[in-house]
Amino acid sequence: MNETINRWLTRLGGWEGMEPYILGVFWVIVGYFIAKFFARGVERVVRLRHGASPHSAVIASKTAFYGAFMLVVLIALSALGVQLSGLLAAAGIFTVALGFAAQTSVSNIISGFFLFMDRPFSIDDTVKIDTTLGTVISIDLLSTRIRTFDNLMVRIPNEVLLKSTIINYTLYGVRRIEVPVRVPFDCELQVLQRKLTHTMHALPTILDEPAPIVLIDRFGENGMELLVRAWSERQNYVSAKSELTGAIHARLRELGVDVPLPQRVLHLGETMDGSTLVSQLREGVAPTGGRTRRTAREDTVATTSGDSPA
Amino acid sequence: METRWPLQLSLDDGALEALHVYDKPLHLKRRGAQALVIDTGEELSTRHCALPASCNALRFLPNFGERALLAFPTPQLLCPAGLTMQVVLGLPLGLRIEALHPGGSVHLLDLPAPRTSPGLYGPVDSGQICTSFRAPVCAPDAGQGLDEHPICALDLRLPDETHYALWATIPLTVTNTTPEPREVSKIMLPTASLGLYRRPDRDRLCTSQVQMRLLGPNEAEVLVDNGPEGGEAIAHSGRKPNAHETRRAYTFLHAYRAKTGLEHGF
Repeated sequence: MNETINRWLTRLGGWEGMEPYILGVFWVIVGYFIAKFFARGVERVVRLRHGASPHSAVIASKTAFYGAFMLVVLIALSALGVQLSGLLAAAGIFTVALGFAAQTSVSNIISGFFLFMDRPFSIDDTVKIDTTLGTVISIDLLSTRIRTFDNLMVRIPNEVLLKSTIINYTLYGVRRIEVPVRVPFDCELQVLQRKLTHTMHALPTILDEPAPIVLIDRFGENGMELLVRAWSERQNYVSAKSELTGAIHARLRELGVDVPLPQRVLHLGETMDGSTLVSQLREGVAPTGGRTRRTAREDTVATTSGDSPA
Repeated sequence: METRWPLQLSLDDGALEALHVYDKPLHLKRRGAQALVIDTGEELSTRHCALPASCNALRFLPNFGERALLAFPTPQLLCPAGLTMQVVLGLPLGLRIEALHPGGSVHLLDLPAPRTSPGLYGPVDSGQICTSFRAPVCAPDAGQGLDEHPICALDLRLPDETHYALWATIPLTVTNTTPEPREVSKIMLPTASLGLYRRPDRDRLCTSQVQMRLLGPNEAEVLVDNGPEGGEAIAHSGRKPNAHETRRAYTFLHAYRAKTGLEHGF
């Protein structure tokens, strides 16, 4: 064993020859911790003194870490006797080669910088990226990590992120709630509008300003369709929506307004009375004598399917 | 009979178990040396609360809450050109409960004022959440003009029917310096500069005087002034009584673009 070590030492030039390598490794190890310490300091200064967002602090910290660590590596290479001028000359060629090899990673890094400049979201924001909905837990140079609400971690490459549609749910303090309500055609709409607005004003989670509003939206298939719009604080959105929907339901019941169910009105022809039609339908026989005329479309369908009009 | 704030009750006082706040029961019962059971009578509302060592009494104080106030004068105010109008607005107050001990006091609980709800002052993308309420309006010389409004029934009642009012009036002066008559539909008041006082002439609470100068169709200048002459300041929100701060007028926009989308037809 000793002989083997001695042979290796002799080949490397003895203990004196090993010194630069040991120094180099020492610089890399110590430098790593110094860079970490420096990066942590930068993050603290950026976050506490300049009041920056966690996102900016993380980016500043990572930039500081990689910068400091690069410096340490150069010092270590210098201790090993590597000519840095030659290294820098080779760096151009190396960069081109690396560019081809690490195209995706470089693309992600550049996308990460664009995201940093664009700032569509920050750490702890609730976002929806394409179909992924969750909270941003980290924004790194290569990717962004999202914790979904069913407690899964989703890693999205920054390149994909840059091309995606991003919905940020936490940027603004208030959100609008919309509840569609269907009421019978014969309802006193203005009275109902007034009473529902009054109901919403009494709800503690609904904002007084912007004022809640009840809009008459359209003539629906089965009744008049109203649109109830109210605003709530962002963090109360779900409970406010639930409370609002419940309050509308209770108020409609109190006012005796039924929610109309889907229905079809059947008009009977003059030559057939209702009881005959009902009995024919019960027996499974297609009604015959009752129809006085068919629409053009029905006739066309009947002809093409080989069924002649009665 | 109406009495003076702050109300201080010993922990051994039986009255603590039969208080009525905002017409609802509030039961406070000491449990052991360092605990208090707070029960508002509603389902799942009971709390087991820690008390500081050697706590001997509870203090009750009216307060505005943490947020700024957004008052909607009801009915709206209309100030003709070049005139100054004086009104008083009704304001519901919250209730703060503190535990007193030889070293000072500890904040236990805040009961929010009823008949209030959150409201946004400013556009939806950058506004400020305030405590909003429909403020009944009365002329300052109309005497008991506000008394019939439900806000003026808010109080804390002891078992012996002594009651402590939990509402105050905001003395408001509106000056219209524009050549057109102007309406005042709302007014935002930051609570940091707003004081609460006991009026010297009547056994009632009122806030600092508020002066509003209408500068244009959308803009006004609001100054929260001192309390009434001879008014006795009531400590609240951790501020000392009679604390005089430098007061500065601020610009108030009462017709900002809300950006709700409705203004664009959405």
